Amino acid sequence: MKIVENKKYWFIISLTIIIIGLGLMMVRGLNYDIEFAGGTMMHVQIGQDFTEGDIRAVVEDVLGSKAEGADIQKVTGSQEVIIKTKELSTDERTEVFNALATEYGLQSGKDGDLLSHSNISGTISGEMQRDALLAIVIASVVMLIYISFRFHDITTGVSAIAALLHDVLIVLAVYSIFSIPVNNSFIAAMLTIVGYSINDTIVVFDRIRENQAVMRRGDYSGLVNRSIKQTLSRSINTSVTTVVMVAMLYILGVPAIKEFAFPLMIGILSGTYSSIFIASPVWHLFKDKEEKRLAKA
Amino acid sequence: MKAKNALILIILLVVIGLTTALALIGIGGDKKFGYESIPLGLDLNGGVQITYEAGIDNPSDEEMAAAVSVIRKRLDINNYTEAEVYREGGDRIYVEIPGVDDPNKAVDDIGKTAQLEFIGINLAELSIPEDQEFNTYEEFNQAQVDLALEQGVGEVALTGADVKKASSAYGPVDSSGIAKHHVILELNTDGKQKFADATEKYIGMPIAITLDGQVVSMPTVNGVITNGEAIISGSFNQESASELANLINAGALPFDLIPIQSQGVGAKLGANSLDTSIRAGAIGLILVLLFMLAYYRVPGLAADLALVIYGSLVIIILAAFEVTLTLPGVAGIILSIGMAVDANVVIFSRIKEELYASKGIRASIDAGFKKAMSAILDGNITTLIAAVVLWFFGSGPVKGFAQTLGVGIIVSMFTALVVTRIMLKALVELGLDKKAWFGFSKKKYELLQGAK
Repeated sequence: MKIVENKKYWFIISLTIIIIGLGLMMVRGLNYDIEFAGGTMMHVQIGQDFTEGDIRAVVEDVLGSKAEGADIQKVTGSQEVIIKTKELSTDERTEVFNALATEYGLQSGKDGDLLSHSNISGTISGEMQRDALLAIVIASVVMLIYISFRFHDITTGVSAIAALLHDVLIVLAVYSIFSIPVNNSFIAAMLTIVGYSINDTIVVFDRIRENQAVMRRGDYSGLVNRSIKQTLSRSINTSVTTVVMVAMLYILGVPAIKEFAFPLMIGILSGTYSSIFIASPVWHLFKDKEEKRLAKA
Repeated sequence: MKAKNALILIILLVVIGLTTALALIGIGGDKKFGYESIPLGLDLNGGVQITYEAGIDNPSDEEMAAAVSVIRKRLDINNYTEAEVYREGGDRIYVEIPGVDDPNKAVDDIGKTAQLEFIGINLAELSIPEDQEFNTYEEFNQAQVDLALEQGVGEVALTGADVKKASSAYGPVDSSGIAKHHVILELNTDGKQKFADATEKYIGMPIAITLDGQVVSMPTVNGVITNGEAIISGSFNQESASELANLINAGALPFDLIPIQSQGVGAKLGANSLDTSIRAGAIGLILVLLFMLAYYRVPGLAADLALVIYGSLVIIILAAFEVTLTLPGVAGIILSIGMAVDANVVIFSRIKEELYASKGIRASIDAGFKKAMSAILDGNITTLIAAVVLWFFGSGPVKGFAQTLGVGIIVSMFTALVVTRIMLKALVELGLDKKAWFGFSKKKYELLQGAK
């Protein structure tokens, strides 16, 4: 177990993924869903084979220039389509659906073929982004305070938050690389990962806290390596069971759930990885510096 | 000792049976505490949700309250009786209509601003073509209003903006002393003056009340009304009087309502989402139970039973507090199952370590729980902090997620630390006390001893 000794490799692996993700984000931006960008979404069951081009033709016919930039996507493995456009009025939306209804013989009303729709104006979407960011920042600060208090040591708190930031950035990179729509469930996914990541890190730190009482003087790398080894089977087992649950959601879920479950799986794996390869080595980095400072003094 | 522990185990199994039955079936006709009585959110049940914003800056509390009641009335008129309407922040109104048939139509129905107008008609100058026939009074009244406006002998005397409130009442309205159902109109300051002028001008003639151009009532002016309170009497019954009052109120909106956000889910997708989530949850849970049993043997059995109690308790709590279950809420539950398993995994790893440290099985179980405690508490509390922050700052679906995650974490701490422990001890006392059943390998132990 030479986790601490090889820390620069772990840091490089993580940084590479994060930089690729953030770089892509700068170049082509995140795939903001209408909840974050404002606009109209319609999820329609067509009930027969079609191509995205067929649907686009109908939408453009009804909306004209307003159809510009419309995002039309066939739901994989089904005969459903998701149409995202600029913000439409109720009348315009009804017109689009009616045009599709005429073309494909769709039903409206109860159990109808308009599976779902949503409409969000630009003003409210800006608020949602702000609220989401605020929630993550506040949650992180409160958790930092709690951990620092419980471990009598701000280093532990900072290291745990570093691992958490790592996981959030990795998942953000995943959203960017796979172009997953950023919407309300993005916030839920992020905060789940925040909670999971911290929980996972704490189990390792708890062991470090315990082993610290009997450690050899100054042997911080031995302490960290031993603590990680002792908690390894638990880290893997928990990760496996949680990923199994989420994977079931991913395999069986409707599109909205699939979008949520995929980054969550990555987040759980990243949370497990970071508790072993990021949090503890970062903690060691701090302790090492502290040790050298003490030695000089 | 054996008898006592057998009793504990039997009691626990009965408790598990009862909570599971309660969660699955519930009590009584409305299946109280059962999973079927958990209220479902729009995304699982189908329905529409709209957020409106006031079309003016800094609306007063009274104006907002009036707008909320207007929307409520419009919903009632359109038979959306299960709808919820409430104020959100300073200038927003949140509307939620569950289980609605046609999302688009519902948005249309409440979004439409009904235009209320009082149209005075100069009967003396109105000419009605003689060849026209009318089958009902309503047709005749409508024709009078349309023709009066066409011929320029009718005018809009007041609009909905002039009305403060309309209400229905029962009692005598004139000198005859006969009690009748009627509608009382209260006008605001502007309306008071306008109404006084109009009643003076149209005395003995009708002032039609129209909503979106449709005549809803056509009273004749009996006298000049200057006190700003008018009474509309006619052949009303209780129902039609209150309906007219509602219609007038619905047209008296203090400002425009701008829909800034709306969302609708058809019943078909909702049912589909719920089915797949439940199936995913069930399959996932069975896989986790099997994994725990295979990997941890006897403790795994205890953990599995504790997990069954955990699942039932979460369902019962959600049902008891009527927490509305949404799609992210289902995800929150499934995730918290993972967290519940984690607590058990932490404990069992510790127990195994204690066995390798040459402790007896009972001492190992006690020490294992004790040592795992701090990690479980700290880990769960920090996750709980995240859930609470999410609940406070999140909106709609995110809130739903935070609620189920929060409930899940609290229940999982209880089942892992209390139920698993009682169960495990009872099982050991009953003779399931071979170290090998706790993941202890003699070979590895000897290797470890040799290394020392």
